[in-house]
Amino acid sequence: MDLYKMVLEDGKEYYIIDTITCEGNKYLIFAQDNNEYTIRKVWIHDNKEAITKLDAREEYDKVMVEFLEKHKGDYNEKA
Amino acid sequence: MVIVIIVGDYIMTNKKPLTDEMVWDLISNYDVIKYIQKRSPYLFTTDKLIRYANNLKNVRKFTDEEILNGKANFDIDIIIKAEEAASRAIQEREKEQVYLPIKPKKEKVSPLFLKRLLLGTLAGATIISCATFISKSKETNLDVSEYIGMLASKEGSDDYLNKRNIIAQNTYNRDNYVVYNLPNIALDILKVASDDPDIFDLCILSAYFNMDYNRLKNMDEVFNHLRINVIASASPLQENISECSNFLEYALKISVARGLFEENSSEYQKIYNIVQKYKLNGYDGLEEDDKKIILAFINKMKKLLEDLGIEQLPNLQERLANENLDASNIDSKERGK
Repeated sequence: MDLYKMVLEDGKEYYIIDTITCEGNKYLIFAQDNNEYTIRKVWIHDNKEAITKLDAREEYDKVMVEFLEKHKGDYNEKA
Repeated sequence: MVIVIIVGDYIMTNKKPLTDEMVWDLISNYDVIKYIQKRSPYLFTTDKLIRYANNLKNVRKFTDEEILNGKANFDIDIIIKAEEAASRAIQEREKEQVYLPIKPKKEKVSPLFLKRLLLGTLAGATIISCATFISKSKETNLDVSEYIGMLASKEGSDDYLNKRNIIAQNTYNRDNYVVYNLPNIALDILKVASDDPDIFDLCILSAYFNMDYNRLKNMDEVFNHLRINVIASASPLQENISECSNFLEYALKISVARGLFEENSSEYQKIYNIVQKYKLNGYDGLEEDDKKIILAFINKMKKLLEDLGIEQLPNLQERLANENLDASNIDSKERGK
């Protein structure tokens, strides 16, 4: 299967494992294979889509809550 | 002279916090300062601003109630100027913000690899989130801090106390819940979990038991499945009866949580006492009757755990890997919406 990855500000390469929409914004969930993960917000900058860091811890928490809620639903479904 | 600057809602609208320099610029240009920011998330900036304001001379501090009720006497022109200053500060902030163009590269990966990425992130996200759900009780919070400290450094290691203290120092109360302000906690826990699933299990359970309220609906299901995921490769009952001390501790807690026993009942106390003897002298050190009771307890807990749905794990992983996280979900068209 195909998975997308890209280099973030820290110079490290991350896989994009999910997209989350929260309060009208779109977020990308990035993860490395050492279980390190991070979130970036998709933002329009100079008329182009870009990603930027989150503004505050609370924003991070909200996205994580959405992320967990999204996959909790998957837990409950039987294949 | 008293000047009031109201910038909280303005910043909230623009979702951009002020940097330290901008805060200082505001304070330097005005005599100061009241910062209404109840709905704004940028508490750190607010605290800093108020701290600076408190150090200024000749500043009368209004309460929120005074301002909201119109009892605070301030000049509307000053507010406008302050908002202009805030606007400039926000524009500066905008310039400082780093924007990376989205240029993803495609890579072939196995479903197993994706599964591992997702589970690692879910586990980390759950730990971080559960930290914000922990009880309002200071003592309980300390217990959990120590627990996480133990996980991060391994109980008994030389580094244990240091690590525990670092975590405790980075744990702070925010309103009525606590937050672990330590970015690598999840990573530490996952690292330990890979070696010692029973301890991880206890940590999850500890956090669960100490929750006073849920921000997530059905949080217990999340914890339960996370626990199952992490210990899937290890038997929760441990094949070797002589090495299931952690499990018995866990089983005692969950038996009460799931209503198998009343904590004050004589039946529970009897098992509790036997488990303590077990921890002290091992299984072989127990009397024959006690061994029978422990085995019966384990069998009862095994059935309880099975009822919680351990068998659902493979289906869950397959679904996560094959359906919900296909890379096509994040292709350029989707991102453009």
